Amino acid sequence: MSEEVAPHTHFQYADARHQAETALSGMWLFLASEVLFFGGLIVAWTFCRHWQPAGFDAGSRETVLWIGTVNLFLLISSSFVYSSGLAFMEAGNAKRLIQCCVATMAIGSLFLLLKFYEWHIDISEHLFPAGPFKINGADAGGARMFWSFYFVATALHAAHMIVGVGLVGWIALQARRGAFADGWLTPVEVIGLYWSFVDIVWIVLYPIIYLVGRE
Amino acid sequence: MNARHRSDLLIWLGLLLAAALEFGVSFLAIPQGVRPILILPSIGMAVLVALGFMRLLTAPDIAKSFAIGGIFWLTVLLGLAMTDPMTRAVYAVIG
Repeated sequence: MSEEVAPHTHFQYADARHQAETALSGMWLFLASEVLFFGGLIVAWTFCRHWQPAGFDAGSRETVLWIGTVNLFLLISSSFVYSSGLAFMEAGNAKRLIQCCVATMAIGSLFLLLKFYEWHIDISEHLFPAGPFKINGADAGGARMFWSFYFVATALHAAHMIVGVGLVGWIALQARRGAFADGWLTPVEVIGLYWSFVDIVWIVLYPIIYLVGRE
Repeated sequence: MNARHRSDLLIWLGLLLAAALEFGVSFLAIPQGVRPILILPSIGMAVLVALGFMRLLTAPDIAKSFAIGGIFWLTVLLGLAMTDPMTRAVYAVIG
């Protein structure tokens, strides 16, 4: 082989910077597609609430506000912790990166545990849109639509969270093996983009699920 | 603590403040039709995360174009989807 390439740099890239920019841009392109994926949910919320505002808001008032709010603060903090880990790694401190990844995973897992507990409360209070339903009368149809939106949106977000926790764990494992010792931080940055995006999705879902419909 | 840590810390504090503000304002007596304005702080928070933790300003140019493209198509998606409910007249059925 005649071409000399730096460690981690594949042959098709001019240099490590070119490869890193391609990886980061690829993740941003993926996230742009995710924006449209979750955008469909926002359209559903806007459209359904427009036609059935009273029923939709009646459904929203049954949500567990404290869990949604605690989860918002948890996810904001998890993005901060992960970003701090990246800053530590840029300064050459792999141990701190591993600690930050473990803390991020712990916060993410706590978010998921609270979300599972919230679903348990919702279902035990007969708020699942299929079958016997807590809200009756004129608002029942709109409320069922709200709870359909709620379960689809929160389940999709939780699925992204589970993937994110796994990816952050993989970064911790790679850091422990010394994969980033030579300053190659592209995977840490790319996974950070994904994790922060999942945070943004919850930041947007929080008011439309818990706040807008409340009196 | 280097400049990056200080910047992250400020962004985190800003996000906590915005989240607390959003939560607090939601308890005010806002008319039902106007309550969707409660989404506004979350849009600001999303921008803060994108510019701060996701380092969009220092991202490659093509990554910036993808980010702007995502917002553009989201605007088209929401805008076109809402033209129907915003312009349709609903008439009562007689009989």
